[in-house]
Amino acid sequence: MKVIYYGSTATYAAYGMAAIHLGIYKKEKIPCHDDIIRQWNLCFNDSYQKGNLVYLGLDAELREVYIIGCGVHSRMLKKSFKGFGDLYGIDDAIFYVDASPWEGIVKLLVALSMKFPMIEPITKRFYIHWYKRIFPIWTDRVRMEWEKLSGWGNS
Amino acid sequence: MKLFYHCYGGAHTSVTCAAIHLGFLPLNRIPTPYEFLSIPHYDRMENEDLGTPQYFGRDELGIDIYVIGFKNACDIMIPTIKSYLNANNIPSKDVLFVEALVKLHPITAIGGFSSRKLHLIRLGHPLTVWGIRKSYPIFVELVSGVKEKLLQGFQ
Repeated sequence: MKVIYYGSTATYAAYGMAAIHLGIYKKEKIPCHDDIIRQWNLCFNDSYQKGNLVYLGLDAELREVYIIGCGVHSRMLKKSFKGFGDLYGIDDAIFYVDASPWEGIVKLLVALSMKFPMIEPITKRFYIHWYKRIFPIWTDRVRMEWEKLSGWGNS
Repeated sequence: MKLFYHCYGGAHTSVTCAAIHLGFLPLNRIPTPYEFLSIPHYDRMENEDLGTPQYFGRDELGIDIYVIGFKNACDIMIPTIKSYLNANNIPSKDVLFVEALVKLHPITAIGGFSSRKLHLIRLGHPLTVWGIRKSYPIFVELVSGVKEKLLQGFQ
């Protein structure tokens, strides 16, 4: 079984939520400053990461966890995976998690930093502030998805 | 091996190319408007089917021909599909994508929009046929090139 976290870009909320899902980030603790900066660098360097299904690891229930950036084409992505899955006889179930509503201002901050590199220290500070606020929301969301996933697997 | 002709809506140009490829439409002359009526899938793809491959037929080399609509997201959707197939141990080199949206006549675009988006089929359908007939030699050239390359690959 595959769990796919998708967003407009793979490195924004999709990566953060998948990392919580896998236990790379601990649910009860906001990541340290260095980890937040690392994710900022990831967002900054790979902001055009779209259309690439990236394998992150196996979760505690041995489900494969992936992330992908698909812009605004999530519906078409699901249709394609279903269509090509049928075509090639892939019977592995896929559980999708939409991370795009929790991407918040990252898109804007990354775009601003790219356009005006001199303001990057400021946008980075905004990012750290935003990250600390959004992290508990991601954690709650991942917990909800995990519960749904448990029920989904049993049904 | 499977070959996918893709365009915006998967209803007109990709269908025309697939029909030329499989011999439903002639190579040596411009088909009559009535000949387009007999092509399967022509002006039929619904919006909710975008991203789903539609089987068209098998050519003389044994290659399965499909049509698919990707809107304007083929640069995201093609790597997405290839990475999905790779994740399922299916070699992506067995999947070929050919863009059929070459030099689209504006009248075809207007006709396609009227027919598929506005559901004004009586108006849109003849306009798409008119536009495609105007640029028909381009499609013949594209498909001939594809077939030639495929033949070289098989030799």
